[in-house]
Amino acid sequence: MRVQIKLFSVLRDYVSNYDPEKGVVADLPDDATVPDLLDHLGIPMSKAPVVICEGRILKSTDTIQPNSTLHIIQPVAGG
Amino acid sequence: MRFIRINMSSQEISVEPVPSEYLWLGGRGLISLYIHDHVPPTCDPLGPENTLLFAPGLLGGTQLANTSRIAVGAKSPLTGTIKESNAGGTFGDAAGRLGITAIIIEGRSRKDQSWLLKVDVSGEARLVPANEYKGMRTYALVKALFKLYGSHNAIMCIGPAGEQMLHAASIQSTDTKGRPCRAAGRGGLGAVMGSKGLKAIVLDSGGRATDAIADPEAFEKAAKDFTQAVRSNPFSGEVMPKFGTAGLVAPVNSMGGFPSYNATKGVFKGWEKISGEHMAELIAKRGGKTGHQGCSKCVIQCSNEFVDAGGKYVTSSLEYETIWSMGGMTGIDDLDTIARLDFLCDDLGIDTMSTGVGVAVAMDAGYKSFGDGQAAVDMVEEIAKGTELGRVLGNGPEAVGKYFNHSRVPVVKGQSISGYDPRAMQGNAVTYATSPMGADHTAGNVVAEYVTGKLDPLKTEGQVAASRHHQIIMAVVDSIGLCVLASHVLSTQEGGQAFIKAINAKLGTTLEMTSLTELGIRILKAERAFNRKAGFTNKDDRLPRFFYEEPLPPHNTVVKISDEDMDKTFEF
Repeated sequence: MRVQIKLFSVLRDYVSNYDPEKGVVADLPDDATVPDLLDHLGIPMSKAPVVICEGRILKSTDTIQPNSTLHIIQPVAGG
Repeated sequence: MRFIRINMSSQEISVEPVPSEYLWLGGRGLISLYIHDHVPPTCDPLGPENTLLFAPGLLGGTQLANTSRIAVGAKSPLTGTIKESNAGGTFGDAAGRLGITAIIIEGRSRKDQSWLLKVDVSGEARLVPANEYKGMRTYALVKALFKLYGSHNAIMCIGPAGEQMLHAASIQSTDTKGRPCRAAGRGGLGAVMGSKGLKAIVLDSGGRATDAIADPEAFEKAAKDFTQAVRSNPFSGEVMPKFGTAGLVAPVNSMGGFPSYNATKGVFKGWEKISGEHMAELIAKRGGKTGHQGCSKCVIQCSNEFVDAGGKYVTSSLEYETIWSMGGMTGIDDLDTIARLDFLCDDLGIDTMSTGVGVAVAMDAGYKSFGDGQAAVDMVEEIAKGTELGRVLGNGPEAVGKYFNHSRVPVVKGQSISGYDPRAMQGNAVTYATSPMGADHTAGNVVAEYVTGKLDPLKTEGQVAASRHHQIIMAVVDSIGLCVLASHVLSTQEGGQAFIKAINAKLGTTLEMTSLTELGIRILKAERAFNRKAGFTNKDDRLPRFFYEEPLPPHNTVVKISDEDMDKTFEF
């Protein structure tokens, strides 16, 4: 399946020549989970990435929806 | 450590030892308990019975990182409640090192008299006539004061907005570069300062007299560990230094909770143009600065120096909440306009958040169009001119709503919400509604619980407990002088342990985290007691109707926390 991904904060560093306007497209197996996605992008867990799909924060056990748009952020607290 | 008490009616100054009931208190805790004990809850906030206090945190002036906030407090003319607002910069650290527990401003000078308060390196305080500075905007004011007294000073001051006693007036604070660009923004404390005839406080930065540290070796170790905890955390160690608080634009829009177009949408159409990522890129390209240390003893360094296309300084630091209020809320997707509005507000001494929300309410009422940057600039300039509309805008969003007869006004107890929509973050609905400070995100922001997956932001489960927990923690954080951007490490093992060890090493105590919880509860109880006596009831712990009735796209949710549950927030 195909998903559209936009990366934020330093996570953009993990995709060479990242284009902020277009983001990246990833081809993943149909049953891919959040860890599979992060693995595919080469984003280490030490960066504490958070995957958001259509406004909802995904859990590490969640599977990725086909044709969805994902935003991957680093954690934030309030300010 | 001592109180410096100034009676503005008689210009008498007295220096007193801190009374025993206020020992071991600092910042917001000291201020709130003092106001509870001494300020008549029904007094006129702009009258002589109100008291304005400035208090560094309990560990202000020590080597503990990120503990240099200055707390300011009084009864607020904007909310009518007790109010504490804190600021960064250099003032809090300077006050701590001068051995000041609190500066207490009482009474009110004659209307034609303006004063500044000067505190020397010996800790001696004097009032200096300041009529020649009347009407001065803050940048010109601090330039003149640094010229007069030297650059080794920290200044807090008001601009024309505070002198006009406008209810959203701020007190500006100088940063490490001597610019009046940090703010005790919320609640109109600048108006209180103006009502007392005080234009500025100038503190010598050379103080060395803090209380002895009970166990200096243990303190140094704990401080080192605390710094390590702050630096190794992805939020305070990576997102904040690189993107500043503007790094919150992407996450909050991604979550569908960025109140836009006067809180009618949860995603702002132009948000990527006003994101922290875009801002950092723009600043780098133009030769400005990110990762700038604006505040004393900060190891996060989230500030920026925003420059124009020609590389010339525009403002510092451009923050998430200003980008939200002047951008998302108004529909302006241009950082240059937003930066200019930020500078204008700092220069006039007015809260960027209240002002942006006020502009948004005016736009929503049809006065001007959303997205009209020039109209926003013109409206804010009217505040300086003291025009009728300027006075309305300067008195906060509720005044704007009444003026235009417009009911969609996102405030609680007169103070606007911040950049987290309560319909998309139910826990922040609770904080906004119930905080003794009025709608206030720094009083207890629940967003971290959502981002880490601990709570679902759209469901009601766990939100009251989360808000309660964060409100208690923030009351403590605001008392120690700790910056909110470092405070999240308190919830980690390393950070929390280092923090409590630092406190114990400083005070010679054996406190545990539970003692801090007790302190937080004590502070909140005092604040709520004051508000009760000022006339507030449970009915004031509610959000405006539209938050319960108008679904916010894209999630199309409303605030679902029941009145009954709101009222359980302070069941400790």
